Amino acid sequence: MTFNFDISKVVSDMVNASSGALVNGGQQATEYATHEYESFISDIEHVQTMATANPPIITEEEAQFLVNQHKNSMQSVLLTVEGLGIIAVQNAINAALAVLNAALSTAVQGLKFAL
Amino acid sequence: MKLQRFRPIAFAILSLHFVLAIGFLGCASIQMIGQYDQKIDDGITNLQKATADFFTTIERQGGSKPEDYKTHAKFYDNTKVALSGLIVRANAVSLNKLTAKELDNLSKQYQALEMQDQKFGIKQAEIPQLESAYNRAFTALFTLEVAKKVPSSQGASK
Repeated sequence: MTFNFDISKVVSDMVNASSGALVNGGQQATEYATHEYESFISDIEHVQTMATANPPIITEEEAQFLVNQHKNSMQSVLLTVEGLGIIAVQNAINAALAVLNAALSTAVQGLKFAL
Repeated sequence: MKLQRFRPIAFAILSLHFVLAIGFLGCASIQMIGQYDQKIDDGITNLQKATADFFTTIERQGGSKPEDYKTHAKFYDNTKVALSGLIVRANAVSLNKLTAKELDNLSKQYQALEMQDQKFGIKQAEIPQLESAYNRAFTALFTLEVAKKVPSSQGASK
């Protein structure tokens, strides 16, 4: 049984696989966050417009209540952005491990590591 | 002399350990966040529908007054019960802290809404803003849940 394991090639493939997953995940998180930040700013501006209209459409207390509701929802957005980041890193590591597994399976013919 | 004979054996053993360790790592996949949960997804979907229905009804009525609160109490009770179940479920799953925190945030949003409704009622002009805030919170929860189930080769999606 021969053990053909080109470490430099495997490392290069692992880096490619993980960077692809990271870039993809990062892009998705950025798009999602940008869209939500824009919508949040637009909502706050609208609340301000309603509160400062003549006569005011909503009272100051109602405006503060709406701002608090928006702030609360933005906390959820930030938690999701954090989660998307974690998922991107998880996918990057798993992509690299999958490459390593495939390379090992090829290198060690007939010997299968099963968990 | 003895040491020189020992070196190839030691090298072979070390190599075997290296291959086994790499093989172990290569076969395993790591989990850094809780897995997708269909029941949480369904629970959020039901809550979102009930909330959209609640706001649409108030908007059609031209807003609500504090005296209308008693007709809204059932909605607040149902959301409390539903969210409590979802929070318990989210906390029971390992690495699911973010989803549990988001559900807790949503619970606080409903508490503030109930207090506002009880004291001052909800004006028709406030409804689009409330819908936007709740949709943002629901979208955040859905986005995170869906991203958990997407295969690693495709990455997370909205």
